[in-house]
Amino acid sequence: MSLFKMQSLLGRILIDDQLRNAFFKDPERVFDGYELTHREMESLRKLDADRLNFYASGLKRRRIDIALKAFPLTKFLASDEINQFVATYCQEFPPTLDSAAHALREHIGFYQFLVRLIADGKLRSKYLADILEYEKNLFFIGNGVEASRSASEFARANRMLPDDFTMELIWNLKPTRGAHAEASSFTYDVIELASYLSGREVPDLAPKTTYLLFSKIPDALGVRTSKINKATLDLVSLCDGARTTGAVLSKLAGANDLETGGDGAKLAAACLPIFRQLCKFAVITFKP
Amino acid sequence: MKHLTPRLGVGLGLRAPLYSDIMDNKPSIDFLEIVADQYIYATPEKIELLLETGKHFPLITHSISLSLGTDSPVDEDYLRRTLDLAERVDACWFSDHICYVKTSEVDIGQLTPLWFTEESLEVVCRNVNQVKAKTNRLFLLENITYYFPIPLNEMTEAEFIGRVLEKTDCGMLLDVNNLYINSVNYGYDPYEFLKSIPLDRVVQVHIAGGVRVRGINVDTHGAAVPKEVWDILRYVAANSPVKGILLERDSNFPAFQELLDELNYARQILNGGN
Repeated sequence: MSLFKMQSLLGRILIDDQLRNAFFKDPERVFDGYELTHREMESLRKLDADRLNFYASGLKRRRIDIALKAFPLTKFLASDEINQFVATYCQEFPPTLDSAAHALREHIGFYQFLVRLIADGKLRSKYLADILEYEKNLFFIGNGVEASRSASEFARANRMLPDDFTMELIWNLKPTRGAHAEASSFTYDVIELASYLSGREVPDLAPKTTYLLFSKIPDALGVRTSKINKATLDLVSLCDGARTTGAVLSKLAGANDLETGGDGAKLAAACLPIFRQLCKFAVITFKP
Repeated sequence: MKHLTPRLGVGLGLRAPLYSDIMDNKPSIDFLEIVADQYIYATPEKIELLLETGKHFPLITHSISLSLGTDSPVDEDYLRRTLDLAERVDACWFSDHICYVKTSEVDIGQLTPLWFTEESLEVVCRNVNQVKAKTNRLFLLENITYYFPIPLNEMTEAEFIGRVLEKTDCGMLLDVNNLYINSVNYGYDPYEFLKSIPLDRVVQVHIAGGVRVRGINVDTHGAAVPKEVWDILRYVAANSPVKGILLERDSNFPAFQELLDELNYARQILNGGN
């Protein structure tokens, strides 16, 4: 049992800067509560502080490298700035015991951390919020097991619907968007921006509000990315599985973008082909 | 070891940025090694692509997180997924490291050295036997690079590795670059190390290149294989029944032809040439 305790302590010393500093200052205080043998304590006392710090620093760097694999364009855009926050991230998001999807946990944690840094104005690039959101959708929708399962289920369910279904057929059904689809708005034309960044070039773009629909392609690798308008974004956002198609259209009726003048029949006629397209791509399905 | 292990030849670690080049150069690559951790939680589509790739190359699986040196049982869910993956790709063998990557409290996230003591030896053997009890597939254990030693070892690393291999009847995945880096960082003779381990148990070899950071050699898998590693490889190939040499390249990717040149050179060595 003693080795178990020794490994626990060494593990904590490696990932916790404060504990490591305290340990090298006064190891006896850190040993309290670990019930180590004299030989184990003597071994830990003799650890080389420089080497241990070198290794611990490498562990932090490695965590950021893993995290940024999900966000290569974000990395290209702000790598130097992000490097200033490595220690902060590792302190605020300490590694936990969750062997399931170790890397995925790092991606999620680092995404949350970057969102906060951007909101706090600590990262300067004007493109960063857009490109991070873009890469987040591509990565999590493209690599998530839940998104994959959801896309397949939706595609299977939609095969039961005729391609040319009518509004009457879906009126009392609840349009539902799955974990595999996300509609987002961007300040810049993020498709154009991503193209530049992929070519290792930072462009000077004027703001141009852009709406994108991301959806996992069922039973295949890849994420479908479609430019949509604001009305479609609103419609997709309302497909939450909680309201019927009729209720969705009622909610949408006040939206100016649809240019239907509040006419319910016109609105339904405008939305029907959108619903059909969303079904065709398995972005939504209709549930009772 | 009672396994009949096929000779795989010279292979490459399957990495996403190399995928299209790998598929374009099938005749030059004998087998692929996959990092199991990248697949055991993957989508069915990613697994399908892997299985498709497996129609063109023998695949072997290499995991990172069994944490065989942790003084607690191996994570059963992770083990099951690892073995399932090896089964699905019909791996000739599978491998992990002689080290620990997590404790009861934290996931260290990196291959961390063991204290080379009798107690650690018992722990590793117990965990290896837990793995072996679940499969008949050949299991290889790899030596790691470590950047700090744990003082007051009761035996050398070579003795520790040798005893683990003998007690568990496992094969060895000898990482020649790890050996070279440790020998430089800790000032010992890598050939003396090789004479102290059961070379007849070496089934697979890893080769790679690293960099020097603040006076310490670091295993990055991001540089060309250095001459010293080729020299050690030549010795190992001449003195052990190596079935596969695997080039690891994870970053700083060169023109693919450079990797093919390294594979060709490794093939010459495996075939007994220089």
